[in-house]
Amino acid sequence: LKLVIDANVAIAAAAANPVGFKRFRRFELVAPPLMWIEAVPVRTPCSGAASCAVSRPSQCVTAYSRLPYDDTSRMGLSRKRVGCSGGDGLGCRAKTYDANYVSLARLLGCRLITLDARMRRGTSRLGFVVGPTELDGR
Amino acid sequence: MLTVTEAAERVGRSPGTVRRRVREGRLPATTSHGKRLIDPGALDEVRDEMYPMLPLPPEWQTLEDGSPAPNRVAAVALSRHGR
Repeated sequence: LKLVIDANVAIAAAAANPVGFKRFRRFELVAPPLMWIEAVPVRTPCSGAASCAVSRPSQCVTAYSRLPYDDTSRMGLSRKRVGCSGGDGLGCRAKTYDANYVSLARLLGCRLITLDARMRRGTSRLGFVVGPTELDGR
Repeated sequence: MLTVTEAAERVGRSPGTVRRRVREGRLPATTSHGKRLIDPGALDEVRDEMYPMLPLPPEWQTLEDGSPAPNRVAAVALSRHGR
């Protein structure tokens, strides 16, 4: 059972290591290559937003190296995903970065898990974008 | 002090969003020579509110050192803007 994981969820789960990913143990986690690019700057101990995300960077670097997800570039899906995103439209209010995750979930026919309330609201009519607490019992 | 445009760049949102927050009294600002000016400290205090986050599962709500988990949505969104 595949589940597309947003970068903010990966960061939150990694920071809660070792229990963070237990919630997803019955899923095969998938993310676009973009997720790594988004997650890396947040984990570094610099000023501004980064410092609010991670207070113990060395632990998070270790956690990231163990992130249990598949990069879709290795699955040959990147080109298809771009086609899905740019061709027939998403039918929702997803911005460029978010569209990568939403279109991947739609292409794979699975749910997308995010912490972004605005993204969740903007894609509500699609029905497959959920928050981490909504996974239980579904 | 920051202008509305500078403040918007700093939080990765549109100037309109910042102006609306000022107008609604949710972001303190002063006026000088007809321009709205915003204290960077006050802006940082409300920054996370601009990126609403869905409820966290209980096991994610605190970090290992016991401190509350920060706003991950804000962190990722701001990193997209290089902040």
